[in-house]
Amino acid sequence: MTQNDPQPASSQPPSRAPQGEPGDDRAIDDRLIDRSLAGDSAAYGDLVRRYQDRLRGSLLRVTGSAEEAEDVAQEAFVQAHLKLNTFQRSARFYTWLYRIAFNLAVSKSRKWRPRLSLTVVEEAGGPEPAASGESPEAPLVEDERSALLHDAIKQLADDHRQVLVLREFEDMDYQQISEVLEVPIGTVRSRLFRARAQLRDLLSPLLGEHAGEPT
Amino acid sequence: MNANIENRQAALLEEWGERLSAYVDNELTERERTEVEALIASNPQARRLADDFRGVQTLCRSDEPPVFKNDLASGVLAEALRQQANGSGAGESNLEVRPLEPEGDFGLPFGKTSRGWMWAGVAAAAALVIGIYGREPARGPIVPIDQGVAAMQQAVPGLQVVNLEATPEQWRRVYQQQLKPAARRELPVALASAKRRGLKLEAGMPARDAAEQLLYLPGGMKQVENLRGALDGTLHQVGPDGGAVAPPAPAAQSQLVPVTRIIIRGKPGQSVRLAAPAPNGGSPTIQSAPGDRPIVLRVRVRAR
Repeated sequence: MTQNDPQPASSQPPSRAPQGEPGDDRAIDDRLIDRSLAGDSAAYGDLVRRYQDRLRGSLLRVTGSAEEAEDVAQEAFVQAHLKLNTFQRSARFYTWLYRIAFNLAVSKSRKWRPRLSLTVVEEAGGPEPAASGESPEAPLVEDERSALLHDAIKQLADDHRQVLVLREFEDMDYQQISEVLEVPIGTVRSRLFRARAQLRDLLSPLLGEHAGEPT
Repeated sequence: MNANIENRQAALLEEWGERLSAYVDNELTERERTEVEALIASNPQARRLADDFRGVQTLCRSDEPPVFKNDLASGVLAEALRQQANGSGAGESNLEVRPLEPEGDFGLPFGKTSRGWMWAGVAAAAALVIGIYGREPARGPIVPIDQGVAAMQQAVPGLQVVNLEATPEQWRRVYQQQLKPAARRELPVALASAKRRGLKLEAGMPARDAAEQLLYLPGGMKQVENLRGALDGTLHQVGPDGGAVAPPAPAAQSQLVPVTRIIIRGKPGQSVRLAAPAPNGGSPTIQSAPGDRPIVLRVRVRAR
């Protein structure tokens, strides 16, 4: 959509990968939590497997280090297991888990030093870039776009980057972000705007490419 | 002229930017939403700004998520089990939580109380999970055994290192007739404190032709006696302080011994350095009775 496009901007966010009904997810979490609390370790293993990639991916984007992301994620799962009987289930398990992970990282005085290059990520033995099934030129374009995006994200202030990751990569709403970061919703809104405004400046060439894409 | 446009854009951004950003997220109140939509309909710059915010959102959300190769589940369960057994609970925050195997007698209070039996059940389940899930291999070059053994003895107080020398023929015979790889090539929990102090330990298959290797024996001194009886080699035991200990009497009975090879890795060009010990003094394993002390066999094979 461009300036000349007569259509008003839509308020619908871009679609994400289908994740099933939220109620189903929550019911599955609840069953696994119940079984874990009853002493079924395999059930907690299932919980770990449900969320490990998502948590590591998010921590990777926040910290910029695959190794740090891995360490914090492991410790967060351990702490969540040990504290599972205190989980009130008023929030989603993942929201609770992420909050533990976030607090762990902060309590360890980890300084965010984003190093979001594919090279560093691969050297750390963690994630690999997902394969693309598009044309031969597409991976190069995607890689360049991805590199530019990562480079821009790492220029954000820590608190702006955290909010952006939770919103754009975790798909959390403002209320959830507010709970995870323990800041007012107004602060979430303000930080997200600042983050986007900075990214808008940094990514202006790419925004032209996306102007015609459906959202 | 351009300066005027930039000023107007800056003013728009300052006045409406936060609401336009929240509009893209559908996070406005009904009143705010009405106001923003009216602005977008009448102001091309505002519409452009909203589109840019949506473009940023699209860029982020179209970025492929990273793919991780290793599974955390087994390490998480084993570490949670260790912390529970250790009584350290949720208060402890130790980031070195790589997978460790609960196998054999590793000093946990199994069977000593009803709670201990509960932990035994949990451990069995964890062991099953550990057997199913994979692990990420350790990295870095293998450190010299002398250096690795010294570091392990510092990191695991009470660790018994039994030196065993054999000819190639003797060792091959013992290897073929007396040894079998442990069912799961996982690091023994008995060596957890070494791992926690920063040693990069890796579990592997015992080697038939290695000139020197470290083997973990889950069955303790009885298995050493079995091996010694079968090998008829030169044996002497080294205590935690490095001093010699009288060897035990040879055992007549022989049986297959499940062993795990312990490989210690380090950083290229750097000596092994240990992290400071945990404030609580380490794992319960190292505080167990002398008979339960973990044993690592150091096997040297050389022609005579």
